Amino acid sequence: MKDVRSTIFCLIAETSGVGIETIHPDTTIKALGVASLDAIEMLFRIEEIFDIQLNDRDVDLKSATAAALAEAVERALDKGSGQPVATLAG
Amino acid sequence: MRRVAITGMGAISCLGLSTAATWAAMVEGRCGIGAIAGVDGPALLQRIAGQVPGFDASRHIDAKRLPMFDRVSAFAVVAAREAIQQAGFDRRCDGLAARAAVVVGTGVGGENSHDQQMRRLYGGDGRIHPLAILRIMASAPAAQVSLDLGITGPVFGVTSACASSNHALAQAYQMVRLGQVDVAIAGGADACITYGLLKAWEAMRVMADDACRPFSMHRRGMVLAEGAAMFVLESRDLAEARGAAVLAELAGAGMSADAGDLVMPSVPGAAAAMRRALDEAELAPQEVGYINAHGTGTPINDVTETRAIREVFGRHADTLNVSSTKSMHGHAMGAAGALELVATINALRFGIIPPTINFLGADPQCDLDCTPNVARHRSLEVALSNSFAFGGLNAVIALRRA
Repeated sequence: MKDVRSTIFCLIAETSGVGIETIHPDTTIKALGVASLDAIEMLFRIEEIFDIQLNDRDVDLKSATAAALAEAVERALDKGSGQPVATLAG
Repeated sequence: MRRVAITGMGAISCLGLSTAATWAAMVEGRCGIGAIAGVDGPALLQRIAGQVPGFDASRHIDAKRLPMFDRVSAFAVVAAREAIQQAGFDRRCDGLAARAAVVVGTGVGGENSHDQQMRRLYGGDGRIHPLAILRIMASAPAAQVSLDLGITGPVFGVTSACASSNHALAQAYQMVRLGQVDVAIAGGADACITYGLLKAWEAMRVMADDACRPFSMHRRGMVLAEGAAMFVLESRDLAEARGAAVLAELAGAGMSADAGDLVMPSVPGAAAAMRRALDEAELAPQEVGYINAHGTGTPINDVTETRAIREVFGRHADTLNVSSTKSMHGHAMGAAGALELVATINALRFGIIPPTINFLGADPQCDLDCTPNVARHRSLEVALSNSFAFGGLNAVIALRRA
């Protein structure tokens, strides 16, 4: 599950245009100034990469931290049979 | 400039198949939103919508013409017939022909046909029905109304997503006002509850999974709906000469664009549309008693709209009744403004403010009287109906009591 967390942190950094070292577990997506359309695109990308579906009640973009987002993805992976279907590079 | 009277209206919504049924439900504070029926597909998270119950197009449209109709055009035609009947015109609009116009707003046009035909093409027998284009085109509702009523003046569709109805009504109003036509049949229609569109809305993460509760604490977003409402607009002189009962005066229409963000609403854009509607109607903000809000129930819309109303109305905002009838009929996209105009016209006629239902308590950022849960009696002279769409496209209608 460490891979999930690093992938998520990496995606958050990419979306917000900051270095990965800026992303800490308690960093909120909102604090990074991510615009709402960029945030929903990021969630879509996460869903694609992990082949999961993140319900609105699983992730609250207004308050979600990087760690909470990673945990939501881990929970969704535990629930379903989803496996990463693409890598960040791919 | 001529004054513009509204002399007829017709509606189809999840609250009922006529304006009378729709209005009765609004006064009772009844919700037409329920579990989605007849639409399913893999992993559909959105389980509620405002579907029109028991609408059978074949009961209204001649069997020979029916293959050319999407559900959206049938909604528009049936609502237009109700409207002209109330206005006292016969089924061919008293032969007005070129002296009348038809303008119909729609967000997505023939979406049911589009969804069906694409399923067939990509997952079925690889064929498309030869009349698919005629069902799908966004101008079809306007064209079908013109054919049905024999109207040969200006006829076209208008599209601005959730503000389509109000932009259509604004165009019709201007044509009547300027004397280009004597009568205009105008409004909006959408039949947009398909698996594809539900999934697309889901992906935007703006949908509520429990209820539409505008301006309320714990609101989670909008609920998709379908329907239509159509109106007869005519010069006040003509209405009086014919002895037609005037339901309300369409006193002004204000339009603006945010030119900012495609989805995030803006206070200045919304405020500008309200101000322009009042200016055109030569009304002071203090004359307004009721605003039928855009009130989608998304966290951001309702806060922005509250601020825009405060900006335009200042301290008078504290004396206004505001409500979002979307809490009852859902967000009917291109039909939204038209269904809400039914609410606004009848609020003026009967002195009843339809409520914002599903209200759980005040959000301090939405500090207006949004008429929570129960309709209220209030004698009104002037009311506004707001529509603010994705794209930052705003259109507001100002009405004066007849």
